[in-house]
Amino acid sequence: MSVAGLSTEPRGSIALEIDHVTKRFGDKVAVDDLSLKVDAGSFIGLLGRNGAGKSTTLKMATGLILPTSGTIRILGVDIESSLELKRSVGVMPEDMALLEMLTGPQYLRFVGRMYGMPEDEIAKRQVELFEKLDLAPGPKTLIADYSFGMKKKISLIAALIHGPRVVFLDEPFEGIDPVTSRTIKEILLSLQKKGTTLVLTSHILEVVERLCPLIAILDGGKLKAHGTLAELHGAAGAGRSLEALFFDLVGGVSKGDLSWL
Amino acid sequence: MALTRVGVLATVLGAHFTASKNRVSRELGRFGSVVMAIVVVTLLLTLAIPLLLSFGALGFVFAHSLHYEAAVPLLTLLLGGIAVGGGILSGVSGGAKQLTWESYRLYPARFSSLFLAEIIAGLGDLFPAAFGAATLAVLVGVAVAAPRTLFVAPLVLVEGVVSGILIQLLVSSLASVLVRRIRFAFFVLFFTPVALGAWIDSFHPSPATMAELERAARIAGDVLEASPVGMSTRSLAEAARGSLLHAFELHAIPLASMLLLAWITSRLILIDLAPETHAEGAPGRLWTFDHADAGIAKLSWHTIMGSQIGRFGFIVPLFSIVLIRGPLAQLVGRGSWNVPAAFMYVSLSASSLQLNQFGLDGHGVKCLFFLPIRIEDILRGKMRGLALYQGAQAMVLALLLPLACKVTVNEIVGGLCLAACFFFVQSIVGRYTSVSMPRAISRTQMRASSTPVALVLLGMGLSAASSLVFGGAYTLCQHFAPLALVPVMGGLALAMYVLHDRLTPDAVRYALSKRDKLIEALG
Repeated sequence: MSVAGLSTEPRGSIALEIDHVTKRFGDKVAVDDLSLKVDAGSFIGLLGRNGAGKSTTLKMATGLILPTSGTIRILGVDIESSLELKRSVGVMPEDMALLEMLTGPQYLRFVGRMYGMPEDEIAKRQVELFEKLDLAPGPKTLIADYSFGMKKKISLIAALIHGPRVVFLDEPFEGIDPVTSRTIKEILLSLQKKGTTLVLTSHILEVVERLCPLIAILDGGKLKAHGTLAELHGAAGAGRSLEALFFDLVGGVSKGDLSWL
Repeated sequence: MALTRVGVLATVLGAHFTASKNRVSRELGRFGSVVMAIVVVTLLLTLAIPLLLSFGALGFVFAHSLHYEAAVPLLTLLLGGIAVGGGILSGVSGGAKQLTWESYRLYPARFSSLFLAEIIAGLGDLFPAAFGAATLAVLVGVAVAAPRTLFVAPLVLVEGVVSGILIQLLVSSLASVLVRRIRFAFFVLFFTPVALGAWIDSFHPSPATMAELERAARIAGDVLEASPVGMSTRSLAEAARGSLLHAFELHAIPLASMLLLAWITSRLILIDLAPETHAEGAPGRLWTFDHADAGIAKLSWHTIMGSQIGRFGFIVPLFSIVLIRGPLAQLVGRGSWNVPAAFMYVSLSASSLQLNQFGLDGHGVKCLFFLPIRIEDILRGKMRGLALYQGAQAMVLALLLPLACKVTVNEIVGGLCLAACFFFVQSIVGRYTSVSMPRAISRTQMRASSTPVALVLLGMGLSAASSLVFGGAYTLCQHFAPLALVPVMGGLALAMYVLHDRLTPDAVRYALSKRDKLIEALG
């Protein structure tokens, strides 16, 4: 399964390089001296509890916010220094950042044109992506009137429509029905096969375990572990699951039953 | 395919235009659009066109009087007042920035291109369109009297309108920064008018001092003439005299100033665009309350005070003091109008929260309806929370007024009753509009929440009517029967409270019938 027009990237080079990055918000350290390299064509999942620093890392990687210290490079280039690089990056932000007073097709036309795409290409890809994601809003339905799942889909389409080489997805499966979830997974795996680098955040262990060959676990803004699923399973110890390793690393001991139940 | 600067402009402007068109269709429907068109045409004929004709006439008179020494400074004051005053007014009301902050960062487009597109798109906003039309009317009047000014009039128009929009963006970003440092802002804004007020009140000019003041006024006139807007206006006079080359030369500094202003504004917006996560504060205090509506009231107060727009409300009393001590006192002189005007201004500043009482709740509105409480408790709680907020605002003003002007206790108590009248009227209407035209309000930014046009017009109408009735009653009492001021205003406030209370069952029924719309729009 593939989506037409999405470009490929030769494997082997570094797609994302995070080098000693720290982000502070006042006194709070959201990301603490994080270093991570992701090869081009990889599919990495950032795992962690709420507040672990996943979304902040993604926002810094995509240039939405600046690191307090350290450097981030995408395809070997600092995202702040090159507008051209942004053409190679697709982002599905946490809160989707949609222009809600536009219809879906109007919004995609806006996004496509901002990426410098020709009108006919935008229309062609939009139809294909709508069909693939089973998205069929009324012709005059504004995004403001879409359901949460539909908004997620349109945000994903906006991240993919220009055929990026590196795609960042912040919690893409949150609020999505199982059928759509499977379709999204298929699209992402198809992109990875074609060489697109994918970075996603999630706090759902099963999704990351089943989808991402590479996993990084963050906690308290620090990188606790990273590697392939096999490496992490190895680290967890014979017969132990990724879930067990995750709880070992980030804590989360069972607190027992509720006293009044 | 690379996207040019023009391409970015066209794309952003196209999106803004389409979004505005969609918004009107969505909010009003076909019938509503027809009604709105009728209202707009009526307003144009009865208010806007006569006003614009007056501005045109003023321009005509000034152009005919250019040989008088005072004509150019006065025309400068008029054009500068429209641009600067219009910009400040619209900036305080929320600013024109429309793109999401992510849009500035995600797309392969220069910040400057997006910023330029925002400025141009800002022309479609109510305030910039109004001050643009006023500037145009003045210039048309000038051109009718002195046709040669047509050569430089477009430049004057562009400088005025663009500077106005830039000031609008600057003020809204500045307001945002100020709200983040509310203690500092309060300190500075509190002491400035107080110090100025004390100085002016203690000032009894002798004849020698009067001569000094006249000299200072002449210097101020020279400064005004040398200011960018002064040079821009002088270019009209030069063009009228036939010195076209010199007229164009005079635009070098206004254009450079406009670019400098654009640079400063863009830097401030960049600061405003960095969404910092607030550090967690002290653990929340345990909320205790005896009745559901008290809990909702505490929740409302907490929500309002946790938002930028809510915190900004506590700077508004200071603005009103500055206004009545400064520009308004210059225009209409100091007098008995200043106390009611200050209370009315502060009360009206909260109308966006009153007419959209669930706006700050956003998705949280669902939680209110999950709770095992009656909708009547929700409405009463909202009213009490807003009463606490607007009461605190009014008390801040009541404390400031004696420091800045000579007022009696009678006038201040009357002013507090006036504020109560405004509050209950806004709350009566707000309970209906909040469920029929709900719109989420950002808690973290001072950005305008794209208030429905119908709500803006309703708010303006309500403000005008309330000012006429309650402000009129206050002024009449103050003038003819000062001793009756507090009893009359207190009686009116009590009457409004009773009316508010009597209408509560109807407001509850209405809220129940429109609950779906509220949840759909915010939840």
